[in-house]
Amino acid sequence: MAAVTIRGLTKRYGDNTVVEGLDLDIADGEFLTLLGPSGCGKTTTLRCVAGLEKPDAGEISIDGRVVVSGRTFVPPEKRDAGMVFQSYALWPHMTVRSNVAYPLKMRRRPRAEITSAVLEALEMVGLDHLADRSVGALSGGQQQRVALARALVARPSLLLFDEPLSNLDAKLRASMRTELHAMHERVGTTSIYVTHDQIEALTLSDRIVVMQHGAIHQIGTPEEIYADPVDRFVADFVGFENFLTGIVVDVDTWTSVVKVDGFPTALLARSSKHRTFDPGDDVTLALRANNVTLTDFNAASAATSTSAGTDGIPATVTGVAYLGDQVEYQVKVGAHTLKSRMSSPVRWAEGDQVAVVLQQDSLLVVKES
Amino acid sequence: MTRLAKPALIVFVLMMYVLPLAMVLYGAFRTAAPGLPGALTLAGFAEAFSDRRTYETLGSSLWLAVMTGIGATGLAVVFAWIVSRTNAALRKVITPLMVVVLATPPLFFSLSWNLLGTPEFGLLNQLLGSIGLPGDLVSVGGGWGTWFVLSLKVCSLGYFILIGPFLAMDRRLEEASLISGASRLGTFARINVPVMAPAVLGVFIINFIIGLIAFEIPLIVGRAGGFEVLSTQIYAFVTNETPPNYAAASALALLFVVAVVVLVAIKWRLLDRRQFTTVSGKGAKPEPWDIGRWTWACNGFVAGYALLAFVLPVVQIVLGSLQPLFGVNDFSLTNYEALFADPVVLPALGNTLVLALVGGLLAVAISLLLGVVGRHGSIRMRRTLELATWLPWAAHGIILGLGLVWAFLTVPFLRGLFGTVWIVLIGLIIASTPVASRTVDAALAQVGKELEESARVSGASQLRTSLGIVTRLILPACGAAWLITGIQIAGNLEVPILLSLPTNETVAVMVFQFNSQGQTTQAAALFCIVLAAAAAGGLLHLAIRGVARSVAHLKIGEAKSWRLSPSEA
Repeated sequence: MAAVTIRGLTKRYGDNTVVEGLDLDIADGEFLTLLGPSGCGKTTTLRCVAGLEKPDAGEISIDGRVVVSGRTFVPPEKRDAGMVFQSYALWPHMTVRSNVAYPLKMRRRPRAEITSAVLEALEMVGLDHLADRSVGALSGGQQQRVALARALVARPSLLLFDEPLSNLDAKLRASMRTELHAMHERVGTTSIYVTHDQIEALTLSDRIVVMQHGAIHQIGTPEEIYADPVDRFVADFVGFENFLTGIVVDVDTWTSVVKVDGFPTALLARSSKHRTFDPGDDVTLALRANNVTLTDFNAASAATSTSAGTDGIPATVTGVAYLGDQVEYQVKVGAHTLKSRMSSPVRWAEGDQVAVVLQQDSLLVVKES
Repeated sequence: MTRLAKPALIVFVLMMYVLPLAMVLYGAFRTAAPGLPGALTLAGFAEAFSDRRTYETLGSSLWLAVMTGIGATGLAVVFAWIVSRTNAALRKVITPLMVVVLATPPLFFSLSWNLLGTPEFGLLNQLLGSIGLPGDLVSVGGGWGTWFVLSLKVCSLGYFILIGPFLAMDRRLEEASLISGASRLGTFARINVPVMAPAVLGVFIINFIIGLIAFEIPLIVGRAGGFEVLSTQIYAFVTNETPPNYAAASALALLFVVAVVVLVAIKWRLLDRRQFTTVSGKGAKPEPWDIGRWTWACNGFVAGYALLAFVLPVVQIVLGSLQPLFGVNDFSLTNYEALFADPVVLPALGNTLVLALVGGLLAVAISLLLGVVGRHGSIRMRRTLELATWLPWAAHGIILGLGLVWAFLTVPFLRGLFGTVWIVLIGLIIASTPVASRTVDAALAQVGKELEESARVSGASQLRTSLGIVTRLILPACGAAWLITGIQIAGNLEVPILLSLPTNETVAVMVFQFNSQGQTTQAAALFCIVLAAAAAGGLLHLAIRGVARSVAHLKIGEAKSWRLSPSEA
């Protein structure tokens, strides 16, 4: 096991800078996920750690040993890592057993040890009964398990995952996610996991790194990232669907009061703990769709206010989408369009007048990115 | 790779593939023959380009290039279309047929069509004569005959370039157009044609180049009807004049090299960046159109081609080899007996076999080395290597031979090799590298990068990965490449015709000599022996693959039962 340190990592392809000056520390035994849309540089970062790409600048050390720095470059085979690829990358001319045995053979382990370690690794992924199949005869999920066994078998100090679940169907993805999590609990190897799927990131990781355009936007635990995104990009990526821009009129330690054009009253919002704001600042408010509740217009106007003026904002329904157990509405408040998700059945139709209630504490002030 | 290996490889490639062409350039400006003292002059150019015949042959060459471009590309498109888009029953024989036609040397087609098209005596004319038509209806001598035979042979290369894009073209693209309201014809014109245009145009340029530089078919088929092209003219400058006019030959050759390099550059610039066809939808599966009553037309077309490009030539050359004198239907093994009694034939056969095996193996090994290095090198390095190995193709056979004569007689430490079998071997390796490397590259492209990367991360070095994973995976393809390259070498006339001496002649040269001395049936018999050897090689290759496959199967099966028995017990 090993801690990984990345300093000033930069990688360019021609004029295109994919990763720029990236700094990252991964603790021993930690499961860290690089999360971001395609082209954000997450895979390139992973491949630089693996030694499959040579960075243009920067330094990487694994377990205190510098593997990339200036003219130093330790080739991938000398980095003691295991890697699971998106396409599984199993060698078609070998059986399941020989595929898994390969890393041990390369490390020149004695035969008896190889036999038992291979069996153990295959048992761990539940495929010991298929050891002598040709890899072509396996299903996608089975192939991915073999790839996992191969990555684990030599007990490397570092495990690397390059979108390993993206080629599987939704159901299989869910069960493999659970298995990967259990596997990490068991072996505890330092792991770097690349994905664009926020569910994978949230369920698997000790910490998540959200990236865009080759730079880090936020590093935090799944709870921090999910509940407290620092900027609009991260918020958007973890499922905030409504964004309102406004001006801060008042602040205290935990909350800000923000005036948004078209809303009858100023809105009370939680301040991100990553940043403080001053009155007069332009800010963005982020809000999840299921924190936007609709009520009948008349009932709302009659209701008594419970939370600082965020109740009963008059709005018009502009779109209705039935999602099964939930219904998604689009409503117009002044010039703003808000998305609301409520449980079924459908209660309003396009053109209806409604009142919008924003749930208390659900508004979050984020940085515009 | 160590720091020395890369420059060493580049020097090797330059020596092997670029030096001979550079020597053609040098030779064009020399007054004296290779190896003799002389001055630099423009006399060669003056001589070559003041001759009126040069312009006539230039015209003939251009005519042949354009016509071959049209004819061979047309055939290739039709066959690729039949295979990828129709349900004609005979579409299944097209690919095997094309493999055979591609692997068979042009010398075979020139020999057998020369016989087939002989008035009165050729098989075709005899067949037509027997149904009451005039016995001299078909005559293949001259320009049209050359064009016809060349197109039959050359379309196979274009077919293999086109079949990939044709099969990869997603049927959904057509369906989307049909649903948008376009007719079948409209869809063909607005979707199929533009999507395929870059690939088809690329094939046209390749066929154009082949038409420009073709040597064997114009030499044997065309010359018989008084049809001269530039390549045969170059050959004439060297062999028909005493002393051989190397400067004039080189000056003409240079014209070729420039034309071909320009064409290849145009192709690269225009086409290689626009690869629409690789962008295919998910699950692209070729689904044939039910073409209804047009099926018979497609089947007829395929059958007709098979008859003209394969069945008739083989039957003719075998029948011819059994005739004491061409056209005399008195079949016996006399020709073969005479050949085996001839003291120079057996050594030539042995010599050719060794050249084919060793040269083929080395050409494949070099292609593999360059392919693997190119895979990991920078884009510029890859382009350089690719360009270098394409050069001998651009300067086909006869020019390459000329360049090697210059290179080996002028460069001091190479002079000792002149007249030995080594120069022939080197020439044949260079000439066959483009074929070998296309086959190897196609196989390499099938090996995904992640297969290598996973081995690296697993702890295997670059060398070990290249040998144990990449090379191992494409081994069957390397075997096929060796076979095809070996056959190309055995049938190659262009290179040894200028480089070999009577002491180390190859079978191809001997066949050509028999043929030009009028001993056409002996030439046919000798070539039949080459064909039989090639066919035996092909069968051996298939057998080895079959055995290897069943062994692999057995191994896995055995291991499985070994695993099962303890757990069952």
